[in-house]
Amino acid sequence: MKMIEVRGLKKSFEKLYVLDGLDMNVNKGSIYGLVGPNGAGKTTLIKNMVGIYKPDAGQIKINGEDVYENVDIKQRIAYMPDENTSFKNYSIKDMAKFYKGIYINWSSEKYEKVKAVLGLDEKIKIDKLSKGMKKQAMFLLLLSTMPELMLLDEPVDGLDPMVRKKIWNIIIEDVVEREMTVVISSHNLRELEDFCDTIGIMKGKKIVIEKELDELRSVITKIQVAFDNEASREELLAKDYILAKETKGNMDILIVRGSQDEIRNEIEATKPKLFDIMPLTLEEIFIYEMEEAGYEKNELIV
Amino acid sequence: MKKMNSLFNWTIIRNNLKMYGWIGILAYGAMFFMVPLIHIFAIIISVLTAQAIFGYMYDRKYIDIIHSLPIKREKVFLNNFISGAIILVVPILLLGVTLVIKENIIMPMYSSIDYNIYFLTNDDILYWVMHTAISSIIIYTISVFAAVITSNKINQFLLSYIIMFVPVGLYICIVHIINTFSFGYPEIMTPDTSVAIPIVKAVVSRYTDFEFCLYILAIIAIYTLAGWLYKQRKSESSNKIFVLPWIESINKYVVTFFVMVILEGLLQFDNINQISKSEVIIKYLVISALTYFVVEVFTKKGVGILKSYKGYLVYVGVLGGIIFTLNFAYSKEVPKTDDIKEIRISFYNNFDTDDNYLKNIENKDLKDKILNMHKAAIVAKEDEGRNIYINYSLNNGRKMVRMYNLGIKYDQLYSEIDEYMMKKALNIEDKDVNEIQVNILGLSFPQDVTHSYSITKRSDIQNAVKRIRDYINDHSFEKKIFYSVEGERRDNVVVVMNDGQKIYLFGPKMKKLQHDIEPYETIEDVEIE
Repeated sequence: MKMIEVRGLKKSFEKLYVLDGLDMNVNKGSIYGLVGPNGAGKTTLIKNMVGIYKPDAGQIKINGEDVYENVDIKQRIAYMPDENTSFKNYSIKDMAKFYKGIYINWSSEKYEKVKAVLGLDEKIKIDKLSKGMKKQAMFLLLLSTMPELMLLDEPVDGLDPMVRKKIWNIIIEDVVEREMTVVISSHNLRELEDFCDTIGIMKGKKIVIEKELDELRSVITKIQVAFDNEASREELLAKDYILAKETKGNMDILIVRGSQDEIRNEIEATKPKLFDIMPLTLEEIFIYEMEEAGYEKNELIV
Repeated sequence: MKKMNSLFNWTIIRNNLKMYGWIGILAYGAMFFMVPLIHIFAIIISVLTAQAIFGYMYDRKYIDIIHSLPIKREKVFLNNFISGAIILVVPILLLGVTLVIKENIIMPMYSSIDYNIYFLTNDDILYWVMHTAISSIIIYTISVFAAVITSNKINQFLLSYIIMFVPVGLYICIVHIINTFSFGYPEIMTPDTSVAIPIVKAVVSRYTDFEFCLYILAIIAIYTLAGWLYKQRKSESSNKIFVLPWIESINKYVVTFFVMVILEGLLQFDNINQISKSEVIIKYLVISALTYFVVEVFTKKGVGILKSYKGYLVYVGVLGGIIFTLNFAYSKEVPKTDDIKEIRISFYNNFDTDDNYLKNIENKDLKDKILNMHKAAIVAKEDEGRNIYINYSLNNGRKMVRMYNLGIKYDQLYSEIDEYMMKKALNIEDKDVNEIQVNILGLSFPQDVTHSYSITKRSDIQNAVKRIRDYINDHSFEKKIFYSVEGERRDNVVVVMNDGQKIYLFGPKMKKLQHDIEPYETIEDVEIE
């Protein structure tokens, strides 16, 4: 079941295209990590998805409906901008009162619960909070609207690990409990890899790769292997499922396409002197995926 | 109630009042202590309120929050607008109530004299409340409009006031161009344009009931336009003066036009009657080209300015077309005899196009003479003499009006037309006459004492109409009487027709006519006004 479906999205500022023919698919209940370098258009994409910007062309369907000026859909979306905002001189309580008047699904129960977990004092003016506290206050307010979809623009970047973990825990709770969908952007893949189940990589005004992590991990494997027999080595290295290789002494480190089980069977049949499956970081997977897709290795500086 | 709830969003209104309600409280306090300056104060506070309420549009952080909320943009606009209106109107109403209490309850307690002579009546207070409220709201609405088309608070503040002068300014400039380049344009009486400038109206003059209604309609119209523009406006609007490209274009042309007409006007050192049109055109071209490209530099910030020469060519084309049309087509047009359905003439003005004022010329010979005079006037370009307004109704339904000056050589024609019109006007049956009013200017000092009476008896009217015809048809000096369809002349005879039309008779032999038509019995009950 698709929560978000973006087709051929185009958006320009002053005749300069920031998004140009972008497609995107987000399944219901998934945590979708939107990754790309600064200026790749992540914020623009999110602002289109929340109905702040009107697309020049293309479609953004949320639950099958266009989002722009669609009150019913927007009732179910919680949006967190990259810069924290509240109205001037507003305390958390003031903002809560405002959101309560706007969002029909507002839950005071949820508000009290999350407030207790985060240990926030609702009487403090939001402007006076530290960056991390502001983010937490925003999460408190957004989660209390009981959204079906959260659109988070770089919410954890630059936060200390403790706060980040705390925030992730509350998000995941709602994802598990209510099948909430989350789209979260970051310029750093590492920030997202532990929590996201799907990753979309933005590049050149588009999403160039969009993969579920389980699927990704099952298709690329990193191994190290050594042979006594040079002929066997040559034979292996000539296989077309090898994406990259690096030689250290008489040891070859290979990135190969295929699941671990497949690879294990393949390699062990060639009787290597040494064979190991090595851990592969998400970043490495994407680097090789990008290369597969025809991008230079250094184009993915994330 | 459900409908009301779907229209209003109390959370937005409450939120605005929470953030900006202090403006209203401040306004109440200030108005209370500065009653004489209240209208000037209202002019400023209205603009500041619009700025406070709609200022979020200029701050990316705030506009993102507002537009991410599940509320349609038109509803956001409506509820913000209402919030500002509440902030402005509530203090005025409160002050009205305060004044009523003060004048009706508190003042009488301390005053032993008849306070009504010195203080405000309840009607005065009601008028004051309406005047201040309507003035504030129209200025506020214009300011909201300004807020929607621009991209920062300073622009919004300045534009709020500038916009108010644009309609009247355009009107004056267009009339100026028509007067410069056309010949025969019927100068109309300058209408009172202050009603189109709300801040002038707010401070200096009273509203008529009609103007109250007009302003309410204007508020609705400007609100609707601003609301529509708000929806067009993008959240990501740039920092240009005008956020919508087509408003930027309109502004470019309006500014170019204003500067061109006004600067050329200031550069006119010569007598206005001797200006050479080609000189004006050259000045227009130079000034407009400079202005146009300076405006482009300001708004486009240096990008693609040279490319915009096409826009300037369009401007020159349109202006050239208008000047050409005025100078040639308009000024030289004489309708063909066959095309003319009616010719009506007036020597006084063309302001009221009521048919009663303009007499239909049916005499073929006279028609031809008028057409010839029209042709001759175009060539002669006289600018001294008696005004003549020619109203043509053409067979194709078009109306065409021209005004020329008849110099001395047209005295003969003038008399002929005058005579014809008088005859025609008074070619009436006495049964069509309702009454005849006689106004006699006293001979002794003070001269403005007038004796007036009316002839209403049928037999007296019959006699009077006979006498008047007699005078009209006899052109000897003995009986010279003139005729007019308008006038306030005190020494005259006024024939009032059954349909309400009035014909004024006056002239050197008025005293004689007055004497001749006077019924015997009225002599005793002459009224003295």
